[in-house]
Amino acid sequence: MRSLFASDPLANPEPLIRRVYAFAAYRLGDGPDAEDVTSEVFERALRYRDSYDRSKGEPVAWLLGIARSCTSAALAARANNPATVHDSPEIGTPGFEDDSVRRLSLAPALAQLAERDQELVALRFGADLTAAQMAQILVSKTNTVEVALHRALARLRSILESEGEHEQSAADPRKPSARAGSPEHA
Amino acid sequence: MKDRKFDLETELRTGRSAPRAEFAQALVDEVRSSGPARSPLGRLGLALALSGLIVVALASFGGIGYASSSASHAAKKPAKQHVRVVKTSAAHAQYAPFTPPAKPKAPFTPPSQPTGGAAGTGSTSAPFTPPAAPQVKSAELPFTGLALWVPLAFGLAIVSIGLVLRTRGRRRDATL
Repeated sequence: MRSLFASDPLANPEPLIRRVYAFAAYRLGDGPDAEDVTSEVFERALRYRDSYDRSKGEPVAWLLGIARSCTSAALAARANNPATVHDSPEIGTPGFEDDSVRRLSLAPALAQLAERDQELVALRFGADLTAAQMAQILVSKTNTVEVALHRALARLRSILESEGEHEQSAADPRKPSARAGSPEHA
Repeated sequence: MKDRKFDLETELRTGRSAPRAEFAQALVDEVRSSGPARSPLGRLGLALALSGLIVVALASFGGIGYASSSASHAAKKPAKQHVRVVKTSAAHAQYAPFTPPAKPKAPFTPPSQPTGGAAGTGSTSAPFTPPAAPQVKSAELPFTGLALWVPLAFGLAIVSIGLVLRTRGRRRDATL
């Protein structure tokens, strides 16, 4: 009966577009690929707008469920045809400026994570979902998601630290094992 | 370590990418131009409104009275046809008064084979057994004689098909 009174899931599209795009950008990189996936997500959402059931989740969760499917398809296409991969979208693409060197070092570190960890990070920090919302999308328990996210962040942190060590050793060959300060902010 | 953890999460959160303003605006315009979603409540309202319109149209042309009288006629007609009590007949005049058989479920005796002699012979005759009235099966529809299970099965089949289609449609939406 609740579905009879379901409101329009796309009544306020601006924040939804931002969150879906941020999720896609975390998975595919900031640029045309993320825009394509975002467009496809909203195209599908418009097509199946009438079938949205609020009792099954919030509009953002519904859209991100679609976004996961679209992102997986885009990643599979990228794997099958590596020639179409866009070169470093942060560089030379108008409108996609990078604010800091730190952000540049985050993208390759994230790329080293497993697919599942990348998705968790994208859902949590890109789409800004809570653990409960992520659990709903991933069809899992909230505690499981929290633990998995914690481990993914630990792995990301260790990757960043090891990269920081490499950079420091490259800058100062006399101190190969130096670890001064936070390696993330190298 | 605690500060480092906080920094990483903050960096991940604040470092999220934002869509280009032109792209976002174009998408917003596309979504808004497509109009709001049709509510299921609206569909229910439309169905009720159409049903009401049909009823009003029928009522204004006397259709409801006609349908009512036809239905009552259809209900009465079988009773008139099959509950006939013959009080005076040639057989009743010639033979002995009708005495009902002792056993109500006695086997049927055809009237064309009287056990007594011919008319006017004065011989005693066996009790008259009236011809059995055709049995009205309650599972048959009037006029057509169509078995009741046929339209019932048809209706159930239509409802089942509708349910199956609805379930498949929902599954397809869920696998988007």
